[in-house]
Amino acid sequence: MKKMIITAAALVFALSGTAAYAATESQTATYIVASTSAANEEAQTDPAENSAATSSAGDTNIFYGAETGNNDVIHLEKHYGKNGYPDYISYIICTGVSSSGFDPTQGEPDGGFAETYFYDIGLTEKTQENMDAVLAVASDNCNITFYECDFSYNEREAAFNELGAKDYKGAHIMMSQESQYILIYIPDDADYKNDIPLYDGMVKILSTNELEYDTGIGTTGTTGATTGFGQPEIGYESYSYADGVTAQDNTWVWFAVAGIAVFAVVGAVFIIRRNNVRINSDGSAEAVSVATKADVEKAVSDSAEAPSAELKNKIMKNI
Amino acid sequence: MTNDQLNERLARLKSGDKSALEDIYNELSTPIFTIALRITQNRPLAEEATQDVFVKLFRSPPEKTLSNPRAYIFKVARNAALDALKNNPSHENTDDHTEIPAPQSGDHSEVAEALASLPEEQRSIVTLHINAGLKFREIAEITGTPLGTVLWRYNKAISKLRDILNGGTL
Repeated sequence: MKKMIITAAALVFALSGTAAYAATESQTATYIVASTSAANEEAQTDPAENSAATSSAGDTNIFYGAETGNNDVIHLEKHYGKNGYPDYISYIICTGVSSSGFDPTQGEPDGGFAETYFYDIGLTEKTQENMDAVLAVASDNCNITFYECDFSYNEREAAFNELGAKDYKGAHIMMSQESQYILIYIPDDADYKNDIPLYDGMVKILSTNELEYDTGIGTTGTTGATTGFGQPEIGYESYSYADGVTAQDNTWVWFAVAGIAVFAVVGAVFIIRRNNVRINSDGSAEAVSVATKADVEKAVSDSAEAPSAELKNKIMKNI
Repeated sequence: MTNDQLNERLARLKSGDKSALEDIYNELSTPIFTIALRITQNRPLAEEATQDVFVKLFRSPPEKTLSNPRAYIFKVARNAALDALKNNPSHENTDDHTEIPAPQSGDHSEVAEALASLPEEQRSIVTLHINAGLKFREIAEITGTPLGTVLWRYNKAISKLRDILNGGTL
């Protein structure tokens, strides 16, 4: 329980960092909070709305690059975009930046602001080794929350290229480094709908009618008008945000963030407990050990077998 | 053993250096045999395929220095296992994947049975990635399969293994 409280506190802290940014950066104020909630809540029904990656499991441990401490990469998504994604990375979302001691009435202090960059990073294998590998790259002012998910960036890219080579007339195929899914929008009367490979759930098929309402979640500006995220692009690398949105009173953001954090923690507890309890047919329950992907891979690795001792001699005689 | 060290051993094979082959055997015989065993599901056939790999390496070592000798050797191993299956049709896998797994020397029969329930192409990918330590791109090249398909099959295989090891049915 203590661990969960710490985790909850850390999560609130991380999200608060986002909210702090929302309060100071008027252009993107509401977007950031919205995308953070989309990233953390799996309960969204529309994959287009849930375009930020979904987390499938587990505790949300928050790390600073400084913990392993070395490299100086702040913009992780650019780093991996340039140098290639390891097979275990699924998505990278920069959820916000906080500037400590920021006061808009004062100029920039000597030496600039102390900024913290907040990231949600999805890993297909959320192992300590993989988390350490990311932290070894990240600058010490990167605050990273790791999530476990199903599909890697490389997998998504390969599938995206394969889908792009097909002739799906009138379709729009989209992938992003911020989502573990590929979205393919097709006309309602498309006769190839059933031919589209879904890659075990990595590909989500939607109607092109939904493109008219954009792929984002939209937000409400000071005029009261709801604004979307601009027109989608084929093969986009990131969302294009609408201009002209100004910050409002963001007090509600703090409450919203706190609420999201509480729901996220409760949800995580529920998922963890549900996964570890088997309900028997007689209604009783028992704890079971659940094999994770890493467990399976270790079991396969451990199951390696050596040939018989005689084989070596046999080979050496035969050559 | 690094790729450079492996290339150095392979170069020595050209001059008939048996100790170089012994070095490679000591390093790679377990993953090679494991791959052959997973593909053939039969211990004698797996040993036959393993023997073929090393005999071929000794008699026909690669002419040039390879950029990825490790992937090359496992490609030879996979082909040898598939050839062993072809030459012994009575052992060839059936579509319903009901073949009996080879006897296990350790306590891994549950994993072996779970692996045996997978289609051959998924088993190959799983064992090439986990036991041989090859990257998915290397496996895609070795098997002549698109990378996305390799990754998709791998994930599907791991999901099925996870279900089975969590108490699901074969």
